[in-house]
Amino acid sequence: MKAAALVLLLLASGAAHAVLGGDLASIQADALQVQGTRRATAALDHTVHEIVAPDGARQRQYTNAQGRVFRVDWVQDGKPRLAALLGAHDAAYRAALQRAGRGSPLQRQVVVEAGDLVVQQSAYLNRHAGSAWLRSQLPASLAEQRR
Amino acid sequence: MRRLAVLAVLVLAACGGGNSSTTTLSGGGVDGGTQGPVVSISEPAGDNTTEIVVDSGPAEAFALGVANVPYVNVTVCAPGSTTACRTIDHVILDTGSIGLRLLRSSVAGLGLPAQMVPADAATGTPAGQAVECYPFVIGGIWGPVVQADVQLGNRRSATIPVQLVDDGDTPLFAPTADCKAAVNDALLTGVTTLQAKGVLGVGMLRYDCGLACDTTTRAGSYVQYYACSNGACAPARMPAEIQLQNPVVHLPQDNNGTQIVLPAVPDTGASLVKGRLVLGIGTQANNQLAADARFVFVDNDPASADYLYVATTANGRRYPVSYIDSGSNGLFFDDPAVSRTCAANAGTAAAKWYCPGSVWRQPATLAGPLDTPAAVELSLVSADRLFATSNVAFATLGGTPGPGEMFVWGLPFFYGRTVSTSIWGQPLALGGPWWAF
Repeated sequence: MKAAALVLLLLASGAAHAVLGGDLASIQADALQVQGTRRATAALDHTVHEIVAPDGARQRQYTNAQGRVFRVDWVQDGKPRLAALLGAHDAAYRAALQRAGRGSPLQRQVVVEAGDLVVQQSAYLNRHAGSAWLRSQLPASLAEQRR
Repeated sequence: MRRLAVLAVLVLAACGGGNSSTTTLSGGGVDGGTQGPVVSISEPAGDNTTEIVVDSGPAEAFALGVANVPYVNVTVCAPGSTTACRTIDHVILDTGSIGLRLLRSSVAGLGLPAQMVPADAATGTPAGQAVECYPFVIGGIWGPVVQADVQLGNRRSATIPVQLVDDGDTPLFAPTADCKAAVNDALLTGVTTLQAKGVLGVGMLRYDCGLACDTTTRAGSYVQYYACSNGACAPARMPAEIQLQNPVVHLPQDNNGTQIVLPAVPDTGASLVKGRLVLGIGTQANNQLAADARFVFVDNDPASADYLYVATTANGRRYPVSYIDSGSNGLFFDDPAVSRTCAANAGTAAAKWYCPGSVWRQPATLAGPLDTPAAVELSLVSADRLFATSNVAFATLGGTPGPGEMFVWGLPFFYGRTVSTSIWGQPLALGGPWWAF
């Protein structure tokens, strides 16, 4: 896959939130909030914006050709506040989670589907990683995740 | 069809650390029956070892459907005491977390002193008792931190912080709103939800949070540690030395890691498994690494996206977010080539098991960033077929965590192996963190 680093910015502080279904401005606001670096990598039919906070927490936000965030990945120590990443989709996620029930006592991974929304998470040694995406908005190159 | 119990005894010579024996005590249902054999291994023995059981869980839990959960006995004592001690059964042996967490009810009357947090002028948090919110992906644990001496096998630790899972009718401290959100309103508050009387976290690290909780209260994450006084809890910075600790690190010897030794299990499972937890790696005659042991070094760069992970390859796919974890009860990875059409998946989003038509076997590899890949075999049997038995130990149970790059080598990986988990920063012939098997 062809990819090129486009931007590397060091951003100052600010306030914001942002999110699945959001636009480029929401990503910039995110980077501002964590006072992190942002790096954008273009693929054929989408762009991945990676934000790294000073404490090593990472987020990747994927935008489609229309500039909308269709997927968010995260990995960090401690559990992130997902509501800030899921935005308007948080309510659907929480409702689906209530239906999910639990598996083994120390469940380390889970995938929750709520219609168009898929959220998967892992927590190991207090390292929390996960992804959330909107199936209908996945570009062709990531079509496998439509399952 | 049901088969009668059979009796078979196998004695296997093992390399690198004395003899070990695998005994099949009783069995049946080798194919299609309902109850598999009991398999056990009694070596290594010694003061630095204790028994592991994979069974149906604590009697008090009325647990249904517990599978692949390894339990040990843990003895806790009031600091310095030889009389105020209690041995607690069915504590989950977990290489995927750090620190000992016990039901508050299980240590009632021992008089374990509270772990206090000093006042913090920088954040304005007053002094108080340490209380931790430890979230899982679903659910989590809330409860006070106390001080105790921990005995594993015949090795007794220094006094360390231990968390109590607050299973009292009246919690000592009410869970905060932030903690309830972190655990999705699904706190594990007792033996029934935890399916255990505690969790013994003996993973690769020394602390359960480390620097992040030491230096900040972490605004971007859910709060992990609080200082509670007068019924109110405030987010607190928690010095590493009073966070939950890996108990193994605080043993007087044999404190650089653990070995988990479990016997092999038939494809359709076992009704009971007994194995050994060995303390220390290469510190005694009974915990030497086999000459042909394979090492998998973990990514140890905290700035890396793959920090604490290794990479798996299987069936033409690569999974860079991989780990070996005794606290996970299956092999969790996504491969669309394996059928997930299972009766067991109906009506639940919590588990998406694999149900291949026949035994699915694939070669796989595990490797850290600089390793020569270590070859292992991956085997799956239909979860429907496994769950139709009355077995509790399955080497072939797997499911998907959803599309992605994750590969969790849960307890199935441990059967038929000695898996060594080094502790990062402890003295080892080869510096950790790594697994060897």
